[in-house]
Amino acid sequence: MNREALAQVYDGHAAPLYRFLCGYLGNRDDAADALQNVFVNLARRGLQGIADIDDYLWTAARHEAHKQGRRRQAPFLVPSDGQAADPADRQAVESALLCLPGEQREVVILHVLEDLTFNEVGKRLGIPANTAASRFRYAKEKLKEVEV
Amino acid sequence: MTRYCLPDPPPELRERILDAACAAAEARPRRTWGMLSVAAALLVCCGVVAVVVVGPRQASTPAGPQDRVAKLIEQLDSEDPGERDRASADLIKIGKPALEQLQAMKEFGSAEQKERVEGVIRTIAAAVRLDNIEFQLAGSDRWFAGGRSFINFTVVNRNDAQVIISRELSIVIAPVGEPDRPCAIGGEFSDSFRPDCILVRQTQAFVALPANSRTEVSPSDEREGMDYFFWTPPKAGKYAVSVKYRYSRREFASRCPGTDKNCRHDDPAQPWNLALEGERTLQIEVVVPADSFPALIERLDSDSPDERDRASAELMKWGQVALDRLEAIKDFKSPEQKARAQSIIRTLRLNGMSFQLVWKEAPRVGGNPEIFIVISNRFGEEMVLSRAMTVTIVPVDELEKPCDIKYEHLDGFRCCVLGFDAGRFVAVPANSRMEAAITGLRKGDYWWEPQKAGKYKISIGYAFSRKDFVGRCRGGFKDCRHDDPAQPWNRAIEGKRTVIETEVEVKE
Repeated sequence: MNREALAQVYDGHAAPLYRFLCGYLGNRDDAADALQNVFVNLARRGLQGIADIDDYLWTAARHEAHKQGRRRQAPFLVPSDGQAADPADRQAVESALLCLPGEQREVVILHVLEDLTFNEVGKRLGIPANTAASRFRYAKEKLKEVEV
Repeated sequence: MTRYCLPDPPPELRERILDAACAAAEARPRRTWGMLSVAAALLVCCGVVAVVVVGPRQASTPAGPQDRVAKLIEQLDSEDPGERDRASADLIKIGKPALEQLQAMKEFGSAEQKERVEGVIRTIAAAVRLDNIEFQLAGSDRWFAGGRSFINFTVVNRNDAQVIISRELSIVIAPVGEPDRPCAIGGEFSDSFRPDCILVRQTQAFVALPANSRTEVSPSDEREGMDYFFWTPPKAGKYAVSVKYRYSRREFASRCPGTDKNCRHDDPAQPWNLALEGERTLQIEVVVPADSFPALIERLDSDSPDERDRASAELMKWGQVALDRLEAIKDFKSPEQKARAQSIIRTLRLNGMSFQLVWKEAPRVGGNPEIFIVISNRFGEEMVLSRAMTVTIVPVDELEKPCDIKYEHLDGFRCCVLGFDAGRFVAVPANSRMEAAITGLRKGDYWWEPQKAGKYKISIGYAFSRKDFVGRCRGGFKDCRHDDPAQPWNRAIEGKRTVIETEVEVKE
């Protein structure tokens, strides 16, 4: 697979994958490593036989995320309005997100932080929309427990 | 309250990832598809299930790191002749991964360095071109006079990718003893370079097929193509099928005058200036028996039950050929003949599927080998019959224990388990499709993370019963419309078969 083709795939898909990995793994370095693994595997494998590159990349990214697990936490969220954030506030939100089980965390990341509908979340994760919704509901209940 | 979002990737990450990915692609291990695909093709042609388990990929030769190649290029200009020779030899040894850097060189320290770089480029380019062009040819072992059959041929390039070097490829079928008779042209396909090229789908005695319009384009070209054509033997007897590749740049230049805009002889990147020069021929012999195929179908309606049974058994042996013929029959003479034909069709369709289990890397504890389950229908097209398929991976010493399902994915019909992030066991009825259409093209990739070392048994099974499906589905779900014959569950092949059973060793 040549660099130009890879660059095209990267430009078209890397940003949401990186954001997802950041949210899932809880730090930017691990997200960058995971994203690199996704693209290294894609380059080794080639595009041949991949019917839907978006599906492939998301599955691979989730796989990388699950594989890496959460190793260390470092600030990864940024205020959406570009203003300075209270570090304690940000850390509380990050910790709450990271305390969720992986399958709930990925739904929260995609639904809340990436603004996807449950249908879209379901498609991304390969689960029915209802399952995505119920995982979100469980996540909310869990977040209430940690009082965020 | 502050609203947070996730950060975009830093711009410098792009180059880092692309560098790493490109280096990994260069170091990619060779695949062993060539023989496998032909074996599959051959088996499918024979109406036999092709079960191919591809072993773990071997470690590849390390990609020459860019700085090592740069150092060797520098050594080509060394004052020590021995060092220059060694650098040349090492660069040739590195081969293709060094080619890009060598070709990118614009300035040279000396004429000798330039000459050596050019020589190394020539050697590597020739080596990679000649390296691995393979022809494979497989024919149905069931032929009959007046009946259409498949012949498959595969050309594999040096990257182990299947390619078609068709412009210079000819396939000839001739009765044994008359191999030199000229081709009888069944249909003509003229291209810009060889007006004598013909593309033949259905011919009588002879076929010449320089085919569609591609030459082997470049070392990195990975265009895929396993091609086949049909042949209708005119009469019983022995036939020789031969594939010949012959290319001479000089002959090409004489065929294609420089005035033709399509053949630019001055452009070294053009396929005709890159193509492998030489000649290779592969030949197989096929026997067309005297038995008449239509007579077999007639015998399905015989008065004698034994005769009907014998005809059924004989038709089964004809595999794809029988399937084509039986599916084309619209009117049967009797319900008995129809029932027998339908039974043969069902069995042959199920047998006509081929399954491959491919490991991307050797399984090891904590590792995540990617498992590719490639299912081909009887036309060699990839697909997934997933809802009706199960994949189980179980330690051989725990075969009796039930699956420990860790990741559940409930769909409307069955409690399917997607083998994503699963533990000791994986049950994968896969994503959610059946044989949607005979031409459906689907492929599934799955991961498995072994938890401990040892031997594991892998089974892949296909089982579908419409009655059971209806029982499970009971019409309560909007997605299972029993009254719609177009729905996949009303079209899928009924039957049950374990298609792959194998063992794999997981290392620490």
